[in-house]
Amino acid sequence: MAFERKELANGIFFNAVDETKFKAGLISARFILPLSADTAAKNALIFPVLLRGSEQFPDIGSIRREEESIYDTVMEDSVYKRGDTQVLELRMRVLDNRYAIDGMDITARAMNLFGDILLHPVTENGVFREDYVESEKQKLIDDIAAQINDKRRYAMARLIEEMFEGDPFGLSELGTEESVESVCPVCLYRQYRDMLAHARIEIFAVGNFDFDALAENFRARFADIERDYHPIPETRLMQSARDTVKTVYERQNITQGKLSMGFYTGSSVTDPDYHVMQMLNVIYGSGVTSKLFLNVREKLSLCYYCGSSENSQKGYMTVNSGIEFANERKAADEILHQLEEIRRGNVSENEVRDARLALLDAIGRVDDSVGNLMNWYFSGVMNGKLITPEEKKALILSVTAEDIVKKAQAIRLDTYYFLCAKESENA
Amino acid sequence: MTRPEIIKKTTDIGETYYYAKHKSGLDIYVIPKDFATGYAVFATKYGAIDNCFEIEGEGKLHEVPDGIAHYLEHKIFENEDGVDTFSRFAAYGASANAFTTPTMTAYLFSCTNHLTENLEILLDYVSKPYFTPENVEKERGIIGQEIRMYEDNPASALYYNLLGAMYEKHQTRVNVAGTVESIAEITPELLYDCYYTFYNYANMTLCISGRVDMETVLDIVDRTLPEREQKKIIRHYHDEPAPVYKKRVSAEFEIAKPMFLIGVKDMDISDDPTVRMKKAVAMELLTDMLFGDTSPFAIDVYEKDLVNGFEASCDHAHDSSKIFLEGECDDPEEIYSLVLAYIEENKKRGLSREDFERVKRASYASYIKIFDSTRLADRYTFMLHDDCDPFTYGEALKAVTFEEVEALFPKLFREEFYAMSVVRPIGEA
Repeated sequence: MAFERKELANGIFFNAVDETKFKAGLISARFILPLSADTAAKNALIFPVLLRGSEQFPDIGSIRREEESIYDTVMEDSVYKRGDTQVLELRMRVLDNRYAIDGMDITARAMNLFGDILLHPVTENGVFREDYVESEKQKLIDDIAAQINDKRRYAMARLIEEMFEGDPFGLSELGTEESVESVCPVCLYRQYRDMLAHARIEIFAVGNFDFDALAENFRARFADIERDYHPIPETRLMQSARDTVKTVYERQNITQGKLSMGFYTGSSVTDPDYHVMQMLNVIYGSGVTSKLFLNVREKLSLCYYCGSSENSQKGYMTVNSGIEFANERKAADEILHQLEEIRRGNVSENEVRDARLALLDAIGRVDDSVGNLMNWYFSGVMNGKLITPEEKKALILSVTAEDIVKKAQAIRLDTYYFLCAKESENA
Repeated sequence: MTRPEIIKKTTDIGETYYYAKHKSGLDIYVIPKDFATGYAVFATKYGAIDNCFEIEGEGKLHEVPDGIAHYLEHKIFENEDGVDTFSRFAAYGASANAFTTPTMTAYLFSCTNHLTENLEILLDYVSKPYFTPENVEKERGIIGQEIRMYEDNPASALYYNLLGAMYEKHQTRVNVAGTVESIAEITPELLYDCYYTFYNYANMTLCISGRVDMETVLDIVDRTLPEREQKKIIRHYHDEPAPVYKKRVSAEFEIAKPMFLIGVKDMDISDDPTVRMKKAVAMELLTDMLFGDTSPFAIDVYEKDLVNGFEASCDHAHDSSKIFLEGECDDPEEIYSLVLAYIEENKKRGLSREDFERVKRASYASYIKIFDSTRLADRYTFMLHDDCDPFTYGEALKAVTFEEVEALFPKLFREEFYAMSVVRPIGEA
């Protein structure tokens, strides 16, 4: 396996991960933009509208038929938050040419479709087609409204919204219903052109490809774009915890309560000892040997799930659990008590060993999937910390129980969110 | 020690695997792959539908509470010495898990180191049950919360409501986790009864993928699995008529837009696994041709903004056979009528050979992509439990003809086989 990176144009990077063991490779283009209330909805709409039609494949039917014809090379788009940025991605998993039963150059056909969708959208009067834009707006509004359907994820998203009120990170990567409503074909097309000019663009090819040919292909495709690229501002860390914990109760017609607690950690990937925070999170609440699982679930039988996760960009940690309404206090107390245990130094050698092994295991899996490989190197280049999995393993091995206890001292509860039943049903 | 015969096979795309039947009755499959992650699944052909059974020669009928297979799955993690199973795996850096389906209970782990040690732990804990009134009681709260979690999940209600509408008697309608009421009846004795019935090795499979060979696996199986009597299980499934039980079922949740799930019920299931595999392949292609991403129906409802997130899927196995169409829309009845009209129109016009070839090529590509991960052990266990050889899937796919798919179409799609489940926002008529 070998990694190589080059700049094709100002702020457009081509990353090659050469690994021959896969039967299907991965090609992806990620556009990184600042996250802001003015542009979140527009950005979220760009790729869905691009996927409605290109010059060669002018409607969704012709795009989908081409995808199937080239051995199920599906164009997948996604939008997500990464610190204070919004990342838009178009990716495809391309079957290796050696499996073509008809001698097709699958990669060439896939690149043709990918490039056409990305850079040659169907337009009318110089902008996106109005019917495509209106249709995708409606779908995005439906998606935003549907966030309420999955209570577990809804509670987690609401916690972040409350915790980061007034901070760009508190925004949804999909925008709001109102901001989607106000998007017009002209302003969306302008945003698309802005994205091509200003975004940091990270292109990845992972697998068994002719990488020079791919890099040249992308370079030529982007040659016509006039770039005006300025590095994206760094993500701002979460401010240290507020004086009094922010408490939010929300009521819905449900049978199980969802408790979500947000903590300030002050620890992010830019810290030289960030891996200590990762270890702390594993010991505290990630996985089935963590303190939260063993105590809140196994010992007290309060829940089916109770786990923590930490965010590498903003410096916070969350704990999420599904519980009986009446057990709210009991569960919250135990969650805080287990954190207190770490702070008091109650971290055993076995816990440290198991956490190390869990993280080493996760790192060991990086080589085993095209997606993992891309994410590993993407994090490296974005964080400005390009290290190999082996180097990361050495860092993990160096963490001691004392380091973890010390790290825990900074952690403070910041926001407390409970999704519970409507007043009348709350026993 | 006598060694069973090891059978080596190579698939149409050059992937090799090994099979052996251990003297205990256990079927073992090893799929060597040069990936860092090793993946093992130890599973029993025992799931939510097996709530009524007898053991050959005993002449006694057992009827057990719904949700017991899943409860048993939770309790298998308990050990007599009090050491937590997860922590045993954690000491070797493995991630362990388990799941229960209508037809099987599976225990699995994946790891990047110590594959053989982890395999030994897997076989050991699953083969040593330890149930006490205390540890069984303790689990009731945890599983109760798991059930509550699904009760708040509209997608789960949509699914189980549909099964209840499609099937009048057959156990396919049973909720895997049971209900808070049904699990209240579960005792250590019942768990032991079910355990010694279904966890006899002749009813189990072991499937491993990674940097491992059959010889090593056989050594571990030999020294780890305790001797156990092989039993022949007679399973009683309730007779089920071909038409659906109810045409409609609906529920209300705090959601944004109505969700629909249309089911097409198929009771024509062969006892011959080869016939089933053939039909499963034809059914997948037919479902894709009619309702897949490139179908006129899927494109039409997308372009007209009639359905958000439209998806079609199907499964055909020894226990049940069905096709699902789902999505979110303003008016589920309108979509149901559109589906009906579209099917009839296609029956008149006939299927397209070009669509068939294109969809088949896409399926072939998806099949190859499965081999890019040792997790295939997981997916393949499902097929093994249907007595199908998953490694012949590629050949079955290549062999299926347009005429076979065409012939299947009018048999599957008949109005008496359709039912629809709807979940509406609270207060919406």
